[in-house]
Amino acid sequence: MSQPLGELGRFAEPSLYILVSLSNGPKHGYAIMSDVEEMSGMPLGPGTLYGALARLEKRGLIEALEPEDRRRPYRLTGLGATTVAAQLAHLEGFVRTGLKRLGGDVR
Amino acid sequence: MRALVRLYPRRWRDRYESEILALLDERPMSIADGIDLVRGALDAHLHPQVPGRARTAQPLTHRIPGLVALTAGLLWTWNLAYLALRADLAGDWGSLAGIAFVLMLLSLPGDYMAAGHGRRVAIGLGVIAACFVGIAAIPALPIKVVLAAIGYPLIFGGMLGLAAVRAGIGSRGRWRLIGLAIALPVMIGIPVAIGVTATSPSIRLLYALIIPYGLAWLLIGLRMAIRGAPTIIDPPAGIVEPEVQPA
Repeated sequence: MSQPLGELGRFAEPSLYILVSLSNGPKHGYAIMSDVEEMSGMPLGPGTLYGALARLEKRGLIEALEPEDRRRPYRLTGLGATTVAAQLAHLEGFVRTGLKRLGGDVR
Repeated sequence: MRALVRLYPRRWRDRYESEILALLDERPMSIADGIDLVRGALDAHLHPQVPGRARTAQPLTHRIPGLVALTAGLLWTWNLAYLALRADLAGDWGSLAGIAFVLMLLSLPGDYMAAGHGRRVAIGLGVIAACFVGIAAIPALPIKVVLAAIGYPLIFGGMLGLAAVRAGIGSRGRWRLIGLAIALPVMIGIPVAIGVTATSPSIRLLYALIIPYGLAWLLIGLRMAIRGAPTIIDPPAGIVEPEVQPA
């Protein structure tokens, strides 16, 4: 079972980036921000980051761990892992279709 | 830029403020980050994601102290603003401001006074205030000016502080309010008062300096009316009234 991210509006895309960022282990805000920027090439503002984190936490897709100093790491929940896997599978199908139509080499 | 975090709702800040400030300490903020924070704060107000306490319906009596304080603030502000503009009415200024003062006093008794400790503190403060006013009112007493200068700000500040507590304003907010509404006007007012006479145009400034006190009561009254403040006839918070057993 997974949750659709589309209902998150303008936070849907940053949320997916955050879920992907957390899929290889817990991270705190600054680490997520740097990782997302590295992955997508798009800077993630602090307001957008925490708007998305609050939404993901409320929906049970991520959970906060005990704070380390003032920084609090977040980790993916089981539901979050299922959701990100479903989203990526959907995107993979989308990419394949797109590339196929463009006549590209699809492996 | 860090001040922009204060635009977020209190409940959001309780949960995320320290984290986001730590994040802002770790990297330099750009203008785009500032705009993003403002957008985030607006979103947090419009679409709260942090769950709050469930609000319970307030009895009608809980609105009374707030409405009384609001009326007091209105009367005080209106009266002093009018006098600041029309200094020729200097002799009559006590009428409405006096009623406002009584209303301010009436908004203060609450359920906290039903508990032993609260009642003792309230009675003690009342006795101290009465002593100050009483001594200051004796005409021939030479130290009455000194007593009035100390006593009145203490009484007015104490009343404002207690009302702010009842309105649920935090410690920092209370001190700021007392500072802006009483301490600052007193500091400005003393030098003005030293060289002032009843016919001097500076008397208008003195009246104007007392206006912030009414504005503070307006703010407190509004907040108290919205949040609700139990009156002395309501059961104290945390004390559950025993259920009446059917005969």
